Amino acid sequence: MAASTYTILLVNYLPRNLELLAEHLGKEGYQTIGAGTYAAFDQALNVPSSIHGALVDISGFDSQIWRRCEQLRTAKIPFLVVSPQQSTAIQHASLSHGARSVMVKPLVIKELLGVIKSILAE
Amino acid sequence: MVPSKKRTFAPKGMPLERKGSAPSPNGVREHAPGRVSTGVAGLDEVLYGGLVPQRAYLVRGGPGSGKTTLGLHFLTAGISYGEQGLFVTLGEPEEELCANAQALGFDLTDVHFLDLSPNSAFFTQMQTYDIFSPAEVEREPVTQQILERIQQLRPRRVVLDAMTQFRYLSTDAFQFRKQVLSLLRFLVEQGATVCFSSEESAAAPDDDLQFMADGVIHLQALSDTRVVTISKFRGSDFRGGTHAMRLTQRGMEVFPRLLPEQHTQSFVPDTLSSGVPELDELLHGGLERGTISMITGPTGVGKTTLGVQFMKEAAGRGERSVVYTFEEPQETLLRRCEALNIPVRSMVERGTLSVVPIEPLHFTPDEFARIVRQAVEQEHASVVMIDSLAGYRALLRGDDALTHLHALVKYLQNMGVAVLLINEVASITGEFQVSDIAASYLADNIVFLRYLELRGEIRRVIGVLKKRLSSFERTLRELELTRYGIKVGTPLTNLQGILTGRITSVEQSGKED
Repeated sequence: MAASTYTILLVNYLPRNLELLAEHLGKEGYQTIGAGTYAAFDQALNVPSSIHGALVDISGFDSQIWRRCEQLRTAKIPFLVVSPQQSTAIQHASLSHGARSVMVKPLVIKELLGVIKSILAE
Repeated sequence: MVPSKKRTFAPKGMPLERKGSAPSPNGVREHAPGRVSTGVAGLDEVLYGGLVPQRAYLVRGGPGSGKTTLGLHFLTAGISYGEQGLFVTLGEPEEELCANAQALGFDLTDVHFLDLSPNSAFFTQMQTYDIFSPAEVEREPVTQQILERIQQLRPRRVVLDAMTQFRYLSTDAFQFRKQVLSLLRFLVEQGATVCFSSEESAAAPDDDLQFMADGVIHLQALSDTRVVTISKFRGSDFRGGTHAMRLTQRGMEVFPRLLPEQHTQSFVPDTLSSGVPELDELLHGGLERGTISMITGPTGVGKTTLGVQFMKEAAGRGERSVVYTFEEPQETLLRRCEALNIPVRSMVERGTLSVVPIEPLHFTPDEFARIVRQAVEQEHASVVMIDSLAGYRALLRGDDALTHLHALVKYLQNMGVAVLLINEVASITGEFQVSDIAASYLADNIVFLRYLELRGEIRRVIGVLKKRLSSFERTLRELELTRYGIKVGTPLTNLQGILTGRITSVEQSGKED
């Protein structure tokens, strides 16, 4: 399956982060949907079949983010959690709510692309 | 009488204004051969003509040390040489830079800018990001913008302020070094001479940039003065040591440390008469050109007046003299000399005498040396008086005044100037003392004046202690300062003990014996 056929949901509260992710993933042929708020997140989850994967940056969101992560798991959408810091608690919460992996900011573009490719291939 | 000096500069000395920098008929200036002017005359002199073209130079210094100002000089000088210049700013926004530059009198109309400084929108959430490191996000667009602008303009001069900003766009030290080296190589290959600055601190030293640069210019603000030092200059020699620097309303000025051996001028070492026959007898003709004469004595004894007397005679021959007065106001000096029949005001009007008051703690010795050099090299002064040694030491900023004075008087000596050093001794009477400040070694000639008390009256005597180039009269003579001028009497052969302060007449002494 070509990258252009994949759509990735990007959850991030900073507009510039969303722009940068969309730009770099777009260069690789991925289509993206940006969500900067819970409302936008919920709206994207209304049509779960159109989403092939998600990248959830938990910075700026409260504990309700884990409920949305559960929804992603239920919808069988593979997702990565992006954390602002290395933390065992965050890692534990992420994995227990269905995340495939946890990445710590700042991300290295090449590494991110590699991880996305591998989870989509599964 | 026509001065007998031949005013021809020896090739190794560098005159203050380089002939090569004069505008050509089409209004475009020309560089010294193989050099690029920095736009700061004194710095060009330190660099023996300017920067070697198509190389990259690091300008380093703390905040407010003048790095950006030097960059502006460099680019605006380029415009006057018909060279395109580009200022790449990574810190200070272009508008701010231009406003500050205009306040200093720079005309940046023809200077191009590439503003890569963060704008205010970055502070807002819209521009803030943390998902990737700045190195991942900013490096490529920044590099791309520089590449495009350089290829579009093909500038001959580039200023990058500050290169250290690139450190934040690199993932590690190796990447930074590689990026800086490749950027500098690219700029140089495009034909540019590059000046890049660094914001050095204890937390982020810039040693790596110093290794990468072809030359390193250090700008430092010390406690009471600013200095420039060159620590590296590939492909050229340079004037070592620290050189005084000043940031003024007109930008940067550098005052190179005076190296006397680099300035020579052929001259005939003839003798300058004082115009007072008895004084000339005492000196066996007068004072020679290219010698340093110390006139020493207690306060009010007539040291300055005696020095100006030599200048009066020099003026009669159409020669120029300069008095640098550190203590006495100009008007007092003029009035005092006029009262002694020395026509100083008409000398000043005719341009044969300049009296230059030196403001306390205003100049460094290097700056003062530049003022003196201008008088010698541009106004052709042949007699220079420093009034006084104590004033020079006390009123010039910085340390090591005596070493600077040594260099200055040796320079004047090499240029064939007759130097008069006025030296005040503290003791009015009593045991004779040549100088209080151990500077007598500088002098080729020492003329001393003393008070003596004779039959209840204060009188003055004059004598010569040392004269390197000729013999001199060993006797003391009476000196009188009258409204008709300086009068020197016949030798005081009937008195003895004048130097010890216990004067007796020779006849009286004989009777006592």
